[in-house]
Amino acid sequence: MIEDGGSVSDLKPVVGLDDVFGIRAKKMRQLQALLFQLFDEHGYQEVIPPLVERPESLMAGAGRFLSDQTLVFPDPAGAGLLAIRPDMTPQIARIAATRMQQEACLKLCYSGPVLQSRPHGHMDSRQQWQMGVEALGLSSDQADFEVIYLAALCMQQAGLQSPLLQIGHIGLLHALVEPTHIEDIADLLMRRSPDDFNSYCATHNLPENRRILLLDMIMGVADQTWLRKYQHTVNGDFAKASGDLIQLYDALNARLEGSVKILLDAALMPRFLYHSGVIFAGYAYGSAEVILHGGRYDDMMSAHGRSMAATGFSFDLWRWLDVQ
Amino acid sequence: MSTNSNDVLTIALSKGRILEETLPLLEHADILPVEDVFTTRKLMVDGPEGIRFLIIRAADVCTYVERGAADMGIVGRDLLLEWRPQVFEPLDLKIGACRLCVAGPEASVAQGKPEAGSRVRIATKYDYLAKQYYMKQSVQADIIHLYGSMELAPLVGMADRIFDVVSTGGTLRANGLVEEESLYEITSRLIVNPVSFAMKKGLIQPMIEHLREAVALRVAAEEK
Repeated sequence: MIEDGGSVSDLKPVVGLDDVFGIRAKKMRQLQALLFQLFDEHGYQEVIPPLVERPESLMAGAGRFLSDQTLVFPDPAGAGLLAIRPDMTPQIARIAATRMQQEACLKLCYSGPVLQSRPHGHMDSRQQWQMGVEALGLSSDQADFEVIYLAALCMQQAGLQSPLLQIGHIGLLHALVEPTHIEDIADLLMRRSPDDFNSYCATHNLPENRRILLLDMIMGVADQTWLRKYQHTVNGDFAKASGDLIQLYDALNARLEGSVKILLDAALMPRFLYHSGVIFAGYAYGSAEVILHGGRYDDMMSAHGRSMAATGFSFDLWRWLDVQ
Repeated sequence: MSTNSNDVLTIALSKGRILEETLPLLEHADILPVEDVFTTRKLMVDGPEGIRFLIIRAADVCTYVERGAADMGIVGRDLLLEWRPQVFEPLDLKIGACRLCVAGPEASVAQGKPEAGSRVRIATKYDYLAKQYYMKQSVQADIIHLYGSMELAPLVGMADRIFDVVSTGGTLRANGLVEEESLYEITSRLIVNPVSFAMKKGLIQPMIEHLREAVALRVAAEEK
């Protein structure tokens, strides 16, 4: 029985923001140390960006894909607005484009909390602990391979069961769809609803050959065999993106030899639509959600005023702990 | 960690009328539950080897699938629109057909839709969709969340309109209500957890194709 009486403070925790202590805090720090060591062995230096930024810095090149997740408030110490980071990658892009201009290639890693003003799912926390790496200025094919290989090593190091990495390429969608339809089609690809796609096609005019390819993607059949078959049937951009993705798939399989399963899915969509090339997502047995996100974001670098290749990945340490 | 293991496929089915229409589709795909789901009191029923079924309330199916406790589920489109779960929707099963409507007392509906800027009281279990709808109409909606029998709310003067699913319209007519606007065609859909889709693709993809065939056959038979 619970005894009545005794006063509990009225100062309640904020909804969607957990406190972490005890065993969970300890395990989180252990996992963090393990992964920092792995990043260090692969030549990544740590950067510690501030918790708040100017909203423009967080949104440059990411546009409104991040803006509706960003909590903005007036700066009490000066004019203008400040924002709490909803994602770490734009901060790394800013650092690479401003404070570290003298270095042509950068391999950076980070670990820290981010706050998303609206959780993705109904059950999600608004706070995540993002830990990840960003590889900037490295030749893009090689960097894609190295970063995804490192993601696979992290999954093994963290002791995840049946780890699986799904790879895709956002360039395939851009090659198939006019810019005005991108967001609608991306939404249909995220929900994988062929029925809704057919209704959409009834009112929007898509070229027939592209409609058929998009339908295959939505139906979940766009794997490496499918991509090899259609690689040269659309346009140069589609052929280039397909070629890069197939090459990456083969190289990862050759290196990992099944220790982390690689699944090519041309319909894979990124978490935020700021990506510009290869994208990937990590899964493991026991987690109902994606535990690792990554991909190329060269366009965001240009928006920060420094044109350079950039790719990386991050994961939410809280979510990783839940599947340990 | 969920107890949904890697070599078992868990399918969440909605109790009630939808279940009756679902079973023939499952039969075609050779994945019938081994027990009579209408008489058993078990909530988890085995299917053929490697498959198990959860027999749960329709409103809970999204939750089980989104959290990965079930890999797949069958649920009305109304609940998908209202709750927007992060799931794949690979197949419209074309069962449980109805529509999501706004309805009100005959005399009131005859006077036309609420004017922009006015305030109306809406009885519904679709809080999100009702709010969105009236926001677009520039009407301020006072949402009254009810769990059932929406038609009663206007009769006792508690609400001006109801926002609910209607199949035959019999209950509306019996209570002196008429449809003001029909907003969405609703049928039941197969939903899949995106992580399950990646992790168990070899099990899930063929099952979706079998069910797709079953739906096509049923639709063809009805059209004859």
